Amino acid sequence: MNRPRIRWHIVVFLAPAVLVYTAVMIFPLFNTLRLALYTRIDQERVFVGLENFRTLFLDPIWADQFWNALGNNFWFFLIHMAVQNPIGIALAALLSHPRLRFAALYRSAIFIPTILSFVIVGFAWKLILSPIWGIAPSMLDAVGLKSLYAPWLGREGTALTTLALVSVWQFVGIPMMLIYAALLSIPEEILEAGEVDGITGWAAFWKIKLPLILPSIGIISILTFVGNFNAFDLIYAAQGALAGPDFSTDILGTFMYRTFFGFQLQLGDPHMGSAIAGAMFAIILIGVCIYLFGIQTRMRRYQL
Amino acid sequence: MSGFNAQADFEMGAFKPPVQNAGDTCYISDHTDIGIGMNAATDNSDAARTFLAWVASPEFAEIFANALPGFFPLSSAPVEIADPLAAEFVSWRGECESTIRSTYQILSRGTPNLENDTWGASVAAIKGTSTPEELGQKLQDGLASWYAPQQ
Repeated sequence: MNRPRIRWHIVVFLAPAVLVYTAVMIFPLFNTLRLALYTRIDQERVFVGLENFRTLFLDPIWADQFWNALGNNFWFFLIHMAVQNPIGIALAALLSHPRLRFAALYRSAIFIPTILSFVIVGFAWKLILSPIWGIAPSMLDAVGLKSLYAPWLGREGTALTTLALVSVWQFVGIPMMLIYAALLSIPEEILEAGEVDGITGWAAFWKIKLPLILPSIGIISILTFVGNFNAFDLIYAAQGALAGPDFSTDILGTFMYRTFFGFQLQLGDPHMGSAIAGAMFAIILIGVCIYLFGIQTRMRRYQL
Repeated sequence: MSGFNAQADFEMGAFKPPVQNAGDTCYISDHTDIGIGMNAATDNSDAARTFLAWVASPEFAEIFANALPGFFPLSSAPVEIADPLAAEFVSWRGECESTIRSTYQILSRGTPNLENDTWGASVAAIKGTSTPEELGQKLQDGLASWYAPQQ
């Protein structure tokens, strides 16, 4: 009888990726979750089980900050879903129009902010919107709309929305590119068949193209969700780790950073920081599961 | 201060922290938190003592104040400061009461963090969203929640 040979080449080829991924992703992830179950008492690490999570969710000092950050994070996500993705889809639809001139130029111009560093984007927008030396007040003045200007980043009511829109400006190129690729992959014959049946223009977009790009929109939504709930850089670059004014732009990422590493005179607390990181992981995991099992499995797919 | 003087193409002046009404008591913040000491377990305690005694001497105060105008010695011995702006600064210590940066160092080693809370409270007091008395009480309650000597 012929014993099946162990196919060593599979192990050899998988090993580098598995080893690197384990070392830089899987191990740190589980170690962070483990760290959340400890606390430091008199220079010694003590196992406390889920006590840190109880503190995080129930102790008013922590819970107020946590729910504030979570609520802000949902608003940050909502702005992206309501503004970034529809604009991305609209831009992709315009770009894929066969008679549009300079399409490549527009495509590059809209995509360029995506490759900029958060630090540059945050700092540039802070300067643009500054009431003292920013160009936003004088630009609005030039078109007679100075009265519309307000120090948006400095007001509790508008700072988070402003930063969300800055982030939208930076990343609108991602949904645009993904949808653009999906639109290009729709075969010409289908659209022609629709035309024969009298479906053209707007109707062709709503009835033929949109259902075909729906899976791409789903992927973009989940990427936006994961990206937003892991966000940190832009807020940190523009407002600092205290996420002012008065914590109105504090999201889970800045809250976690401040707690884990400390900020100014606040001492770092790796254990509470890990608890927040664990909570973030759980929120993202739940969100992704809802999408994968609740939405994606029910999405209708078409064979092209 | 000499660094700023070198950069500015105008003559720099200074003013005291304002008070509510003319003639009210003014306060100058002494940074008593910038201190150095000796490790009790050191093997070189004599050398360290000699060094610390020198750092605490009027001689060092004079060198420090003139080498780093803008940083002022807290020495009780009179110190001659050459920089006129620095001399003006330090003259206020004769007119005003002393206060400290209360949030440095030990008082910000717990949760809630007194320094960060003081930032928020200062803004709230300036904006008028809360009274100074309420804010002071809030800071005190926060400190008392973890700092044993205040409990």
